[in-house]
Amino acid sequence: MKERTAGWLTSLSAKYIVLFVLLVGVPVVATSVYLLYSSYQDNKRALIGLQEAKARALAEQVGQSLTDVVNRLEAIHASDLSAAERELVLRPLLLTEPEPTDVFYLDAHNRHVTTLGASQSDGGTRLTLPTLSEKAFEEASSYLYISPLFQLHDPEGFAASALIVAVPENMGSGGVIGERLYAQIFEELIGGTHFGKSGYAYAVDSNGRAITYPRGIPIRSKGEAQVAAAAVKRLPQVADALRSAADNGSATGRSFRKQDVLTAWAMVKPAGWRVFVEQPESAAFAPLKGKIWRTALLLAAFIVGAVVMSILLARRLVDPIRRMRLAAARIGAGAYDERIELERPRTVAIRGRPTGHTHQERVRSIVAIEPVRDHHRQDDLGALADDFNRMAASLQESHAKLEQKVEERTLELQAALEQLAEKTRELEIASKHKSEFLANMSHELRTPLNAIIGFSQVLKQDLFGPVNAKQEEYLDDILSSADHLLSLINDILDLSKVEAGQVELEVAPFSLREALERGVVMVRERAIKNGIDLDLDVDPGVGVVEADERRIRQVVFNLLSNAVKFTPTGGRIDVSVAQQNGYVTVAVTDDGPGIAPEDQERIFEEFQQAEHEAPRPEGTGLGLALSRRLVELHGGHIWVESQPGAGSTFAFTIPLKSR
Amino acid sequence: MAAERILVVEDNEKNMKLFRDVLEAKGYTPVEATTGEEAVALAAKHAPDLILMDVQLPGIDGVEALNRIRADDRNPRVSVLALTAQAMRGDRERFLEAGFDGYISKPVDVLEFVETVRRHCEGEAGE
Repeated sequence: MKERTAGWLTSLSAKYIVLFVLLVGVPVVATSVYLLYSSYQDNKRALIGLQEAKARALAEQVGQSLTDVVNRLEAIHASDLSAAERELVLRPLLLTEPEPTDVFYLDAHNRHVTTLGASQSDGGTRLTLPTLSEKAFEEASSYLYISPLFQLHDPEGFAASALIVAVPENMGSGGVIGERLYAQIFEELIGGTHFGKSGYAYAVDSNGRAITYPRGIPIRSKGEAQVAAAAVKRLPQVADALRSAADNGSATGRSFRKQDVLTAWAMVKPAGWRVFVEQPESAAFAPLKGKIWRTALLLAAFIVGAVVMSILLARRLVDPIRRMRLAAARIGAGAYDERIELERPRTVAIRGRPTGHTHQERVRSIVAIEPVRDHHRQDDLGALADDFNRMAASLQESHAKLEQKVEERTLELQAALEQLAEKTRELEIASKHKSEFLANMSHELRTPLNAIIGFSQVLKQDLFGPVNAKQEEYLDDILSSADHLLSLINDILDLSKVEAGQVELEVAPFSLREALERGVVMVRERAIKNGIDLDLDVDPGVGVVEADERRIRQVVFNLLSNAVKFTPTGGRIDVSVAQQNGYVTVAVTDDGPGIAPEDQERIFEEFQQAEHEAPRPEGTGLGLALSRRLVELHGGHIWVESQPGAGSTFAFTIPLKSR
Repeated sequence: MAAERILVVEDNEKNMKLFRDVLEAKGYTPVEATTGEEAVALAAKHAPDLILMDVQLPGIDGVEALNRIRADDRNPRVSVLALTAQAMRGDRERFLEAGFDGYISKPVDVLEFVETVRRHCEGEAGE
């Protein structure tokens, strides 16, 4: 397995960091922004409040000036005085503050009766006569008239704003007492106002004409004054204030230099003027801006710190996990001795008493950085690493055990296989030896029998002279004994070969009926001699079977000769053959003495015969054992049904087609 | 017709005596050999009319002796019968396949033995 070579900045740690930064950064940024915003709002509200107060105060002062003018005009009665007396009354007004250009008294027909001031001077600098229009006169004679500002040109062509204040003559003459004033008189009051670092004030009349100008607006000529007046009139906050029915207000507006400004205004009651107190937003929020910068800087530092912290934290969290993952992968790849060691962060210990001369030496003498390897990490990850190591150890141990066990078992298996091979070889050799032994046995037993039988037959055939009756009887006994011995030898050899698995059936089709008939023929002579009735009944359906004919005939002959042997004189033997379900069954039934149940199985074993009273019939005792083996070799079976005294039925069944 | 020479190869003294006596009694002239080598030599020397060959012999066995006799071109074609106590199933076929002209198993039935010898000496086909 190939290790993934991810650095410590795996996706897991990246997730950690992002999460950490989000957790820390988002609330901090949100809080800061909120705080800054509300601080801005508060600041703005406070500034506006201050400006409004200032504006109101200025309006109050301007209003007071106008009121002073009105009061002193209302105090004067002119209609009942002579021209000289009126002059005496009016002249002091020219000297009072605010200083008028002219003081005048108009009769009920709007005619100048007495006029004192700049328009009457002889100095060559005479101004035009202050006059009132019909409408203005009517207003003035009924209550109070404060004129809009107008341009007053002095004889040198210098233009200045001026206004006229007029009230009814207080004797009810229908005349009017008025003054003409330079608007300049408010300049000191309003234009001189400072607000904050760059705040300023100005005023307009009810038509929007500037009474005083915002500071910084250049007015050095008539032309410039006109431009300035037009500029002030166009300011949006001026238009707004003139449209407003309220006494005061505030707004964000524009300066004539197109700067955003904070504006507060208040109305001058008697004249319908508006006094504005303004300052540029940039200046107003300059302190706030600094604050924002500082906050942002702090915030950035904080977030950078958070990122660094989170990276460190993620490293401390993720690195062990990554190491465990890599270790697990290596274990999975078979490196069972893999372990992990998580270190505790370095710690600083203070030890002993300081020694040394310089400060540095003294510090160095007591401060020791703890060796890392001695200190196992103590937290959950340390515990996890411990568990991991324990698991790895037990895995290693069980793997080692398993390998050892596998090795042991393999060795055992190899030994067993070798033993088996050895046994097989031995068995093969033994089998070969057995075959050779059987062949030798057969040969060695037959060789002397050849002489016994041969010489006996030679004698019996009188080849070398006649033998007497007794000698002939003996010769018959020798011959029958030799025959018995020979058949015993043949049966033993057959049985041994079957038992050794050395008998191969020679399967071929043959007629079972014929085979049975031949068997019957072979025993018929003896049956007749014993007066036994021998009957063969073959089912018509029985035809050709595929089996080893010689072996089947051997079995049939064995059963028949047994039957003849054990059936008493005058008895009866029935041979029947039936075919059913692919099998043929041959049954040989006699009416002999029968076989006791306890003997019925035993008689199929070697050298076993049923218990008999003497004389015991001759027989090898091997016939049934051999027959059973041969029938079973054909895939069939052989059995006996018998009751003592009621005869026996020996039957065998074999498939129609043997393998 | 009599006086045919019959080579009997037999290592067992008693059996040799039996075959000799029977053959002589029936008018044949038996020639006796007790080993395979001797049989080969006598077959060449006497040119017998019939050979009765035991198989299990000291020295070379009957089959080898048969092959040597047959291999010698000077010998006239002679019938050789296996006369053996190897009488287990399949032995008969085995010996016929090995080149014997007939097969007589021991222990012999004397009448059958005489009949078989007679048949072969008269050159009858088959066994």
